[in-house]
Amino acid sequence: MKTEEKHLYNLNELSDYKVASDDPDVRGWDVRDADNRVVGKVENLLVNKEMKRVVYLDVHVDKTIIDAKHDPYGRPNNVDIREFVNKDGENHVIVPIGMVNLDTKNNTVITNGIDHRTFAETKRYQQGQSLNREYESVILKSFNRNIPQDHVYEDGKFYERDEFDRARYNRRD
Amino acid sequence: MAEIKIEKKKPVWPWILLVLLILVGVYFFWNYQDTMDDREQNEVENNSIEQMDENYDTPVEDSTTQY
Repeated sequence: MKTEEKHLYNLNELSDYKVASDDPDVRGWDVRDADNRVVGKVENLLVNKEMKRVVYLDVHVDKTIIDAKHDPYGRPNNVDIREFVNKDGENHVIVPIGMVNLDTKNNTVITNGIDHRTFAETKRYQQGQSLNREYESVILKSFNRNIPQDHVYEDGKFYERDEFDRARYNRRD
Repeated sequence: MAEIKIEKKKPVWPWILLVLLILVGVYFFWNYQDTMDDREQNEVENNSIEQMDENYDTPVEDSTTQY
Protein backbone atom coordinates (compact mmCIF):
# COMPACT_ATOMS: atom_id res chain seq x y z
CA MET A 1 0.00 0.00 0.00
CA LYS A 2 1.35 3.43 -0.87
CA THR A 3 0.96 6.42 1.36
CA GLU A 4 1.21 9.95 0.05
CA GLU A 5 2.16 11.48 3.36
CA LYS A 6 4.90 10.10 5.45
CA HIS A 7 2.90 10.19 8.67
CA LEU A 8 1.35 6.85 7.89
CA TYR A 9 3.15 3.65 6.95
CA ASN A 10 2.08 0.12 6.34
CA LEU A 11 4.04 -1.95 8.85
CA ASN A 12 4.88 -4.45 6.11
CA GLU A 13 6.75 -1.67 4.32
CA LEU A 14 8.95 -0.96 7.30
CA SER A 15 11.35 -3.85 7.20
CA ASP A 16 13.22 -2.56 10.26
CA TYR A 17 10.11 -2.34 12.48
CA LYS A 18 7.91 -4.99 14.08
CA VAL A 19 5.04 -5.18 16.57
CA ALA A 20 6.42 -4.70 20.09
CA SER A 21 7.00 -7.99 21.86
CA ASP A 22 4.53 -7.11 24.65
CA ASP A 23 1.68 -6.34 22.25
CA PRO A 24 -0.38 -8.67 20.05
CA ASP A 25 0.07 -8.78 16.31
CA VAL A 26 -3.55 -8.70 15.20
CA ARG A 27 -2.93 -9.33 11.52
CA GLY A 28 -5.24 -12.12 10.42
CA TRP A 29 -7.66 -11.61 13.29
CA ASP A 30 -11.41 -11.42 12.62
CA VAL A 31 -13.07 -8.05 13.12
CA ARG A 32 -16.49 -8.10 14.74
CA ASP A 33 -18.93 -5.22 14.95
CA ALA A 34 -21.00 -3.93 17.85
CA ASP A 35 -23.45 -6.82 17.32
CA ASN A 36 -20.67 -9.41 17.19
CA ARG A 37 -21.07 -9.92 13.44
CA VAL A 38 -17.91 -10.55 11.46
CA VAL A 39 -17.27 -7.51 9.29
CA GLY A 40 -13.82 -8.39 8.03
CA LYS A 41 -10.30 -9.45 8.79
CA VAL A 42 -7.27 -7.40 9.75
CA GLU A 43 -4.89 -7.51 6.81
CA ASN A 44 -2.34 -4.88 7.74
CA LEU A 45 -1.33 -2.39 10.40
CA LEU A 46 -0.92 1.29 9.62
CA VAL A 47 1.64 2.87 11.89
CA ASN A 48 2.96 6.28 12.77
CA LYS A 49 6.71 6.16 13.25
CA GLU A 50 6.84 9.26 15.43
CA MET A 51 4.34 7.82 17.89
CA LYS A 52 5.85 4.35 17.49
CA ARG A 53 2.48 2.69 17.45
CA VAL A 54 -0.30 1.40 15.26
CA VAL A 55 -2.91 4.07 14.50
CA TYR A 56 -5.24 2.18 12.11
CA LEU A 57 -6.12 -1.39 11.38
CA ASP A 58 -6.36 -2.07 7.67
CA VAL A 59 -9.41 -4.32 7.39
CA HIS A 60 -10.32 -6.46 4.41
CA VAL A 61 -14.09 -6.21 4.69
CA ASP A 62 -16.45 -9.15 4.63
CA LYS A 63 -18.58 -9.84 1.56
CA THR A 64 -21.72 -8.91 3.49
CA ILE A 65 -20.40 -5.35 3.82
CA ILE A 66 -19.82 -5.06 0.07
CA ASP A 67 -23.13 -6.73 -0.79
CA ALA A 68 -25.01 -4.19 1.36
CA LYS A 69 -24.26 -1.65 -1.42
CA HIS A 70 -24.68 1.40 0.77
CA ASP A 71 -23.40 4.78 -0.37
CA PRO A 72 -20.55 6.10 1.74
CA TYR A 73 -21.24 8.60 4.48
CA GLY A 74 -19.42 11.88 4.91
CA ARG A 75 -18.58 13.14 1.44
CA PRO A 76 -16.04 15.97 1.47
CA ASN A 77 -17.20 19.23 -0.13
CA ASN A 78 -14.60 19.13 -2.85
CA VAL A 79 -15.46 15.65 -4.11
CA ASP A 80 -18.13 15.03 -6.71
CA ILE A 81 -20.96 12.85 -5.45
CA ARG A 82 -20.51 10.46 -8.40
CA GLU A 83 -16.90 9.96 -7.37
CA PHE A 84 -17.82 9.36 -3.77
CA VAL A 85 -19.08 5.82 -4.07
CA ASN A 86 -17.63 2.45 -3.24
CA LYS A 87 -16.44 1.00 -6.51
CA ASP A 88 -15.72 -2.61 -7.48
CA GLY A 89 -12.46 -3.78 -5.98
CA GLU A 90 -12.62 -1.30 -3.12
CA ASN A 91 -12.79 -3.79 -0.29
CA HIS A 92 -10.59 -2.33 2.43
CA VAL A 93 -11.40 0.09 5.20
CA ILE A 94 -9.24 1.53 7.96
CA VAL A 95 -10.36 1.51 11.59
CA PRO A 96 -8.78 3.81 14.19
CA ILE A 97 -7.04 1.76 16.86
CA GLY A 98 -8.75 3.60 19.70
CA MET A 99 -12.16 2.51 18.45
CA VAL A 100 -11.52 -1.20 18.90
CA ASN A 101 -11.01 -3.67 21.70
CA LEU A 102 -8.70 -6.62 21.34
CA ASP A 103 -9.95 -9.99 22.50
CA THR A 104 -6.64 -11.79 22.86
CA LYS A 105 -8.26 -15.03 24.01
CA ASN A 106 -10.24 -15.42 20.81
CA ASN A 107 -7.88 -13.47 18.54
CA THR A 108 -10.68 -11.11 17.63
CA VAL A 109 -10.94 -7.36 17.18
CA ILE A 110 -14.20 -5.92 18.47
CA THR A 111 -15.50 -2.57 17.30
CA ASN A 112 -17.98 -1.83 20.06
CA GLY A 113 -19.08 1.52 18.72
CA ILE A 114 -19.44 0.61 15.05
CA ASP A 115 -22.26 -1.52 13.69
CA HIS A 116 -22.58 -3.41 10.41
CA ARG A 117 -24.52 -0.66 8.68
CA THR A 118 -21.94 1.96 9.60
CA PHE A 119 -19.21 -0.25 8.19
CA ALA A 120 -21.22 -0.74 5.02
CA GLU A 121 -21.74 3.01 4.70
CA THR A 122 -18.09 3.86 5.10
CA LYS A 123 -15.89 4.82 2.19
CA ARG A 124 -13.60 1.97 1.24
CA TYR A 125 -10.41 1.86 -0.75
CA GLN A 126 -8.63 -0.61 -2.95
CA GLN A 127 -5.50 -2.24 -1.66
CA GLY A 128 -2.53 -0.40 -3.13
CA GLN A 129 -4.37 2.92 -3.33
CA SER A 130 -2.86 5.93 -1.63
CA LEU A 131 -4.19 6.93 1.74
CA ASN A 132 -4.31 10.61 2.54
CA ARG A 133 -5.52 12.85 5.33
CA GLU A 134 -8.76 13.51 3.46
CA TYR A 135 -9.63 9.82 3.45
CA GLU A 136 -8.74 9.56 7.13
CA SER A 137 -11.06 12.47 7.88
CA VAL A 138 -13.89 10.85 5.91
CA ILE A 139 -13.43 7.65 7.89
CA LEU A 140 -13.54 9.46 11.22
CA LYS A 141 -16.58 11.42 10.12
CA SER A 142 -18.37 8.20 9.17
CA PHE A 143 -17.55 6.32 12.35
CA ASN A 144 -18.36 9.34 14.53
CA ARG A 145 -21.53 10.37 12.71
CA ASN A 146 -23.55 10.47 15.94
CA ILE A 147 -20.92 12.21 18.00
CA PRO A 148 -20.47 15.95 17.64
CA GLN A 149 -16.86 16.98 17.09
CA ASP A 150 -15.98 19.58 19.68
CA HIS A 151 -12.28 19.75 18.94
CA VAL A 152 -10.41 20.93 15.90
CA TYR A 153 -7.09 19.15 15.63
CA GLU A 154 -4.16 20.64 13.80
CA ASP A 155 -2.54 18.44 11.21
CA GLY A 156 0.47 17.71 13.41
CA LYS A 157 -1.78 16.61 16.26
CA PHE A 158 -4.15 14.50 14.20
CA TYR A 159 -3.34 11.29 16.07
CA GLU A 160 -3.94 12.92 19.43
CA ARG A 161 -7.66 12.56 18.80
CA ASP A 162 -9.71 10.35 21.10
CA GLU A 163 -10.23 7.85 18.29
CA PHE A 164 -6.60 6.82 18.59
CA ASP A 165 -6.68 6.37 22.34
CA ARG A 166 -8.97 3.69 23.70
CA ALA A 167 -9.08 5.04 27.25
CA ARG A 168 -10.08 8.53 26.17
CA TYR A 169 -12.50 7.21 23.56
CA ASN A 170 -14.27 5.10 26.19
CA ARG A 171 -14.57 8.07 28.52
CA ARG A 172 -16.09 10.10 25.73
CA ASP A 173 -18.80 7.48 25.19
CA MET B 1 -6.85 -2.51 25.77
CA ALA B 2 -6.18 -1.45 22.23
CA GLU B 3 -2.74 -0.09 21.88
CA ILE B 4 -0.22 -1.77 19.67
CA LYS B 5 3.25 -0.36 19.88
CA ILE B 6 5.97 -0.97 17.36
CA GLU B 7 9.69 -1.26 17.91
CA LYS B 8 12.80 -1.38 15.82
CA LYS B 9 13.96 -4.84 14.95
CA LYS B 10 17.28 -5.73 16.47
CA PRO B 11 19.87 -6.03 13.71
CA VAL B 12 20.88 -9.59 12.85
CA TRP B 13 24.35 -8.82 11.47
CA PRO B 14 26.13 -8.65 14.86
CA TRP B 15 25.02 -12.23 15.52
CA ILE B 16 26.17 -13.32 12.08
CA LEU B 17 29.51 -11.61 12.72
CA LEU B 18 29.81 -13.32 16.10
CA VAL B 19 29.10 -16.75 14.59
CA LEU B 20 31.64 -16.10 11.84
CA LEU B 21 34.24 -15.04 14.40
CA ILE B 22 33.59 -18.18 16.44
CA LEU B 23 33.87 -20.35 13.30
CA VAL B 24 37.12 -18.63 12.32
CA GLY B 25 38.39 -19.06 15.89
CA VAL B 26 37.52 -22.77 15.89
CA TYR B 27 39.15 -23.21 12.47
CA PHE B 28 42.40 -21.58 13.60
CA PHE B 29 42.38 -23.45 16.90
CA TRP B 30 42.09 -26.79 15.10
CA ASN B 31 44.70 -25.73 12.60
CA TYR B 32 47.03 -24.73 15.42
CA GLN B 33 46.41 -28.01 17.20
CA ASP B 34 47.22 -29.97 14.02
CA THR B 35 50.39 -27.96 13.52
CA MET B 36 51.44 -28.57 17.11
CA ASP B 37 50.71 -32.29 16.77
CA ASP B 38 52.78 -32.45 13.58
CA ARG B 39 55.61 -30.56 15.23
CA GLU B 40 55.57 -32.84 18.26
CA GLN B 41 55.49 -35.87 16.00
CA ASN B 42 58.46 -34.54 14.04
CA GLU B 43 60.33 -33.80 17.23
CA VAL B 44 59.72 -37.32 18.47
CA GLU B 45 60.90 -38.77 15.19
CA ASN B 46 63.97 -36.52 15.12
CA ASN B 47 64.79 -37.33 18.71
CA SER B 48 64.61 -41.02 17.98
CA ILE B 49 66.91 -40.60 15.06
CA GLU B 50 69.33 -38.50 17.08
CA GLN B 51 69.38 -41.07 19.80
CA MET B 52 69.96 -43.76 17.30
CA ASP B 53 72.71 -41.67 15.79
CA GLU B 54 74.25 -41.06 19.18
CA ASN B 55 74.25 -44.75 19.90
CA TYR B 56 75.63 -45.41 16.53
CA ASP B 57 78.42 -42.83 16.90
CA THR B 58 79.45 -43.83 20.38
CA PRO B 59 82.54 -45.86 20.03
CA VAL B 60 82.18 -49.28 21.45
CA GLU B 61 84.71 -49.80 24.09
CA ASP B 62 86.98 -52.53 23.25
CA SER B 63 87.37 -54.63 26.30
CA THR B 64 90.53 -56.03 25.01
CA THR B 65 92.35 -52.70 25.18
CA GLN B 66 92.12 -52.62 28.91
CA TYR B 67 94.40 -55.44 29.17
